[in-house]
Amino acid sequence: MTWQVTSRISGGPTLSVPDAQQFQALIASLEQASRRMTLQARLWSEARERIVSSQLQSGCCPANRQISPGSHSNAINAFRHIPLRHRELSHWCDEQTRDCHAVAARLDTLSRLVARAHGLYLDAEHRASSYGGSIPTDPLATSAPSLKGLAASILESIGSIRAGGDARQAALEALHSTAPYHEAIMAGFSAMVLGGIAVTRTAGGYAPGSDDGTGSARRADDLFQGMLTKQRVNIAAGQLASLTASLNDNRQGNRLDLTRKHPPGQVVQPVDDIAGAIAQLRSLAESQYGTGTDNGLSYATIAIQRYRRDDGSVGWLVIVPGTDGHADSPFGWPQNIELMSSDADTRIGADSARMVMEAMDRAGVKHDDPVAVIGHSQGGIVAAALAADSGYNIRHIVTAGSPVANHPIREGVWTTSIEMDDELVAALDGTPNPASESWLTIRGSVSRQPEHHESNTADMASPVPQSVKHREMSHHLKFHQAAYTNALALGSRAVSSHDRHFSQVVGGTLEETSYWQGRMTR
Amino acid sequence: MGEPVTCTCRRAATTAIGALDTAYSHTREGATALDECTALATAAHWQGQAATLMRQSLNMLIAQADTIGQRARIILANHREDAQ
Repeated sequence: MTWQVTSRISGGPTLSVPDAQQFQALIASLEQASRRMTLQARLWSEARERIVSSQLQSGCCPANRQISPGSHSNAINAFRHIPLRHRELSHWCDEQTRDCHAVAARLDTLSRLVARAHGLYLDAEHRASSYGGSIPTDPLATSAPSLKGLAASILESIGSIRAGGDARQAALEALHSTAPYHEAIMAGFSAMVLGGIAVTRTAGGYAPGSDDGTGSARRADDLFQGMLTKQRVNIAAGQLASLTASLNDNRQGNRLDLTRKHPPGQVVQPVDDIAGAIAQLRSLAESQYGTGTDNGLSYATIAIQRYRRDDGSVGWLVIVPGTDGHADSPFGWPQNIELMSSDADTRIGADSARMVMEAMDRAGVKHDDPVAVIGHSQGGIVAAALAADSGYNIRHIVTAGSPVANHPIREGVWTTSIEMDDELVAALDGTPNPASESWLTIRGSVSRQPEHHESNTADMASPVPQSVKHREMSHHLKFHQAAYTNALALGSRAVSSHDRHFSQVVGGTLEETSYWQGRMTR
Repeated sequence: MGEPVTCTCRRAATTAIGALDTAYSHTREGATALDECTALATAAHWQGQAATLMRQSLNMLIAQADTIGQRARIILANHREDAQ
C-alpha cells in the first residue's frame, strides 16, 4: 500500500459549548507547546553557530597554540583562554535542535488531529480558507487568462483521463495541486455559461414560444441574477439540460426498460452501518465500472435491500452506483446535467432517478417506509434528488464523491457526504456543502504513505485499500472508503451520531436483496 | 622571549557560552507546556483511536522532552567545567 487518506469533518451534531471550549483549549495548548519547542530548537541552533564561530577563532588564537600538553590549566589561566570542547558541544546542540523540531512537528500534527476530529479550525487553516474564498468567481474576473487556463487544464484533465502513461499522471497531479480552487473555478465557469446564455437571449429579443416577446428578456434577467447566486452551477445545469435532455432522448430513446436480475452469488451482503454500506457499494459498483472482479451483474444495476426491524417495521437500503457511460445506460453522462438542475422536475425526470424510483416501486418500497440511499458519484446525486423531490420517506442518504451542495434536501433527511479534496467531481457544485446537524461532510486528503511507519502514526492516516504505486484518480470508491474509515477512527461524535442514525434506518434482519438493471430504449 | 601571548578567542567563547545558557534556560518551558497539554487531553471527553493516540503521543513527547532536558544539563555541566 502506497497511498493513504486523512479526513477532516465539518457539520454533524455540534459539540456542547464546554466541550468545544475544551478542545479549543487543547489545540491552543498544543500550538503553544509547539511554539516553545520551535523557539528552543532555534536557540540550540544559534548556540551551535556560536560554538562553530568560537571554534574557528580558537584555531587562530595564539594562546591556544602556546598551550602545550601537560601545562594545560596553568597556561589557560595565564592567557585567560577558555578551551571549550567545541566538537562535543556542537554535536549535542545539533541533537537538541533536531529533537526539539521533531517534538514541535509532532505537536502540530496532534493539534491538527484534534481539529480534524471535531470540525474545529486552526488559525492557519482560517488564513488558507479565506485565501481560497478570495478567488474571484465573477465572470469578468474568471475570464482572466490565468484562471481560464486553470479551468481549461482541469476540464482537459477529465477528457485526458482515459489516456495512459505520463499524460494521465500529469493530469492527476494537476487535479491534486489545484484542489483548493475546484469549487471556485466551477462557480466562475458556471457564471460564464449563464452570462453567455443570457447575453444570447437578450440579443435574440424574442423567445420562440413566448406570448408577448417579453419572456425572453425576463428570462435573461433571471439568468443574470442567477449568476450572482450560490446555485449558479445548478441554474447553468438546468439551462444546459433543457438542450441536452431532448438531444439525449433522441440518441438513446426515452423508454426505460427495468429488469430484475439474479446474479449467481450474493453480491451485496447485509449492512449494519455506513462503513458496511460503502463496502457493499464497492462490491456492487466496481464490477460495473470495470475496475473490480466480475460479479455477474451488468452496468446500470442497483441493489435494494429490505430489512425487518426489531419492532416489526420495514427499513430499506438502496445502493446506487455512478456513471458508467454506456450508450443505452440510464446512468450516462447527460443524466448528470439533468440531476444537477435547479429545477425539481428536471432532476427527478432524469433517467437514472426514474430508474431508481421505478425499481423501488417494484421492490415493494412503500411511500411511508423509511429508506436509506447510498450512492457513488451520479448515484449520490440521485440520492440527493430523491431526498429533495421524491415522495419516498428518505431518512438518510450517503453520497460518495457527489456534487450535492445545492440540492434542496428535505428537512429531517440526514446527509453524510464523503468527498475527496482532489477528485473534482464532488466540487462541480461550485460551493461547499452546508454544515448542519443533519448534514455531515467528510473530506479526505490523499498523500503518499511515508516510508517510515513511525512518522505516520501521529497523523493517523488510513491506508487506501488495493492502492498502487502511481497516483490514481481519487474519485475511485476505495478512496472514499479510506476517508470514512479515517473519519470513524477520529472518534468524532458527529460521525458516530450519523453512523447511529443510518443504522437505525436499516437496522434489523436482512430479508431480501434485489438487483435491478436499467436500459434506455426507443 | 617574544611578545606576551594573549587570547583572541575569549570573546567568541563567552558568546557561545552565553548562547548555551540562554538555550538551557528555555528547556523547562517546553516541558511545562507539554504537561499542560497532557492535563487537557486527559480531561477532554474524547474516546476512540485518535484520543488514545493523542494521549500515547503526549506521553512519548514528554519522554522525548525529558531526554532533551537531560542533554541540556550535560551540556551545561560540560561548558561550565570548561569555563572554570
